[in-house]
Amino acid sequence: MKLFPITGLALLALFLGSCDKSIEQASLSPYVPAGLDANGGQWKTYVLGSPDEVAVAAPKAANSTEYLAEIAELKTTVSKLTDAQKDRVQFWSAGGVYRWNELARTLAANYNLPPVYDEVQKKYPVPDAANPKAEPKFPFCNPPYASRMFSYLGVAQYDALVAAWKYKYLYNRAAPGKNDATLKPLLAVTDLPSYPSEDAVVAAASLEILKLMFPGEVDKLTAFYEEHRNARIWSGANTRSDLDAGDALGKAIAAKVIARAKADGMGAANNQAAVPAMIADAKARGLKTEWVSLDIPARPPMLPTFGNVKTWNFTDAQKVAMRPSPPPALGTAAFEKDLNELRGMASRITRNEHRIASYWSDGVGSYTPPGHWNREAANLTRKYKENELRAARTMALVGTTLMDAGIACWDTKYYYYTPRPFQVDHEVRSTIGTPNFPSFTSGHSTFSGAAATVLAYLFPTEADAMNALALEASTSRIYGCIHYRSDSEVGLEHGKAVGQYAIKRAQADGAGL
Amino acid sequence: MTLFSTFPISNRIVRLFACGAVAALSGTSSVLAQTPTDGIMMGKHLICNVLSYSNSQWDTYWEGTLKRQNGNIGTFVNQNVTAMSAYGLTKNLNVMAALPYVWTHSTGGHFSGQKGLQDLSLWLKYRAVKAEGKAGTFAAFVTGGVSFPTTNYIPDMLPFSIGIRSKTASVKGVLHYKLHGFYLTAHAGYLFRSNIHIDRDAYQANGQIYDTHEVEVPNAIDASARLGYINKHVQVEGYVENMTTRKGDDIRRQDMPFPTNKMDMTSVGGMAKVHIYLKNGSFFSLVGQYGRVIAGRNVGESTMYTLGVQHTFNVTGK
Repeated sequence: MKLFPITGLALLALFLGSCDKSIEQASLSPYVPAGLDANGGQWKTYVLGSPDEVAVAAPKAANSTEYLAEIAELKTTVSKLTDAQKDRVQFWSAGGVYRWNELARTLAANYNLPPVYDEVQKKYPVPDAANPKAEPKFPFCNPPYASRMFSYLGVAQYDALVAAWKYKYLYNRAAPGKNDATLKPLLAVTDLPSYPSEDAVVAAASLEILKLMFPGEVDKLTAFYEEHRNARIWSGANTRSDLDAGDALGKAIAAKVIARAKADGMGAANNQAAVPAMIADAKARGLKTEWVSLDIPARPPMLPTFGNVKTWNFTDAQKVAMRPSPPPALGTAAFEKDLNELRGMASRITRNEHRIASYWSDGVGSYTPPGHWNREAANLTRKYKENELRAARTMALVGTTLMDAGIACWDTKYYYYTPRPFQVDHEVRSTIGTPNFPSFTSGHSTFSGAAATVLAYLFPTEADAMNALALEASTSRIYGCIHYRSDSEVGLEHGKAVGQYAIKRAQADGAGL
Repeated sequence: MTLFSTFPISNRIVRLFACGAVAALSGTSSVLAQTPTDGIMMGKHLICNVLSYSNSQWDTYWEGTLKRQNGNIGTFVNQNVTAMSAYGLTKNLNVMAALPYVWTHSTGGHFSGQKGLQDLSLWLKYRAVKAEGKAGTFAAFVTGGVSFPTTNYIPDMLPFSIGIRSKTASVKGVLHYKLHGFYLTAHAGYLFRSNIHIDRDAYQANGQIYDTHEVEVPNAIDASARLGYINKHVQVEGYVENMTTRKGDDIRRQDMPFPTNKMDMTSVGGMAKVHIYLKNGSFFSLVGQYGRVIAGRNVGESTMYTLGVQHTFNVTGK
């Protein structure tokens, strides 16, 4: 009898040990786009001078031997799919723009790790693009870097898809499933012409941009790209010539976008030599105590000259014109009021306020605030069933406004060079971690104000929700004790002004709302 | 606690509070203490209430397998006050409960510490085998325990979080041998830890992004061996123990710990206890323990001490 409880417990242990706890993530179902935007080939591009700047040769006729052979190949392939291939078709049916943005968010998080102090050299090493896999890995994908990465990804996808739409409706090759009724594609077939393939365009353009941004990930990116292309064959959605034409177009346009990236001034964004003059200038304008790094050992400020990088939707003069007025000066009553709010905050905030601080923390190891807003945007493209081109437009508008917000915010931060709350009062400790750059204005607030403004314009029924999210993100930094209220409130307004420039562009790009 | 606060306190320090119950009280020949992993039982109707203070700190930790220090943490300090009770339902079946209040802080950097009531632990302990003879006393026990968080504390800010909010269930087997007061006790157990929900709805683990609040927490195996001496007045003991998670990822370079991490550790230590008898038949015990982590992965190289006082008496007044 005494063995009974032992046996029971052993069985319990066996049961507990065998429980599957792996995280199940919702799989994304494909949708039929709400519209095809047949005039998309005329939309205004960012880098391309015109949608047909890169030529695409006419496809073979639908009754040509070559094309019929391609269709036959598709039929054979579709009839012999393995479960693994079907799984990949399902994965990519969520949308190429969506999936590549999702991968970019993952890579952003993977690479969002600050370099470790070198005890021998007595300095923080700087990641080296020419040696990306060595520690510290290149890039350190911090918020400014991420904002730039996402913007180029969005722009390359968008420009390439505008060009693709141009040729799709020029050549009007129907989808394989429309050309041959005996072919049974795995995915719904629309009236969108299939040459050149929008998926191949997105895969090629995204691959080239992300190889530039994450040079240590070429193998992983290439595998992802090949899988994307293959999924279109496996699903019976594109023939090889559809894909090859899209591939060449996507690569050629990516090269033009990369040329813009290489000339945008990012290479000079970490000019630490400019810092002493920045501090002196800020002091000449009335700064009493300059920001110092709170990291131990002190870390050089993050990308002090990122504020000089080339913007997307406004000029340098416009950037300077909308730069916020100075924050309350140290020692003034207004400053003390802001600081007093933070004193005791960590033990005073409610659990929900702490939830907000944590939800928006977007710190080390996360995909950063730009990644957070890319996710919001990408989810809305699916919620509103946007076709690939319109989804890319959404991502490009949000991506560029986020980079603009990063530039405008970094310009402001290093213009005023104000200390973080903890530097002024060591009792104000953070519950989420203090970033390594000056306080005014809040980067989260600026990013969020800009992205929410653009999303509210693009998705009017979501306007209230987006603005509420931005306000929450902005306030989260006060709850986290890393920003004064003035940093957050001014940053949020600044971000909204940045977003308005992207809206101006959207109003004139030919895509309607 | 020695880990980044990630295991319920029960598994780490409860054994310190060994509720001594002695022959004078129980009317039996057993000179006993009581934890989920020791070789001792409370007599029927005996109750033991414990209050203890623990302090665990480290300035060195394992980032994955890399041992390092971090100026942004300096010395990390985790303290707790724990209330625990054990009660003899029968001479072979005991029930135990423990609830700690935990607070954390670091001496370096700019992070705020956290504090709060952590997880309530409950166990049943059953003595399945007892054999006495000239060659000593041999006993075998099984314990089953559960724990669950009592407050909505924040699990997503390790090492500062006071716990990880996992609900746990554990099964342990204990073998105990005693001769002339000297004893050897060994245990092995399996700890099932439920997945948790964090405030964020997207996070990175295992190199990928999870678009959900849910976080997988790895299960763990624990084992210990302890050698000691016990009599009516004192108990001393040396121990080695190990906790190994079944899976999990490593802390990435210069990143923070996360509940998905594989957190393994081996620690050694010693414990001493003295009993002070009152005229009413009850007694107080004073307990001290010192321990140290000697090997680990994704945990702090902690040094820990505990001080406790316990009061044991018969609830029937006998």
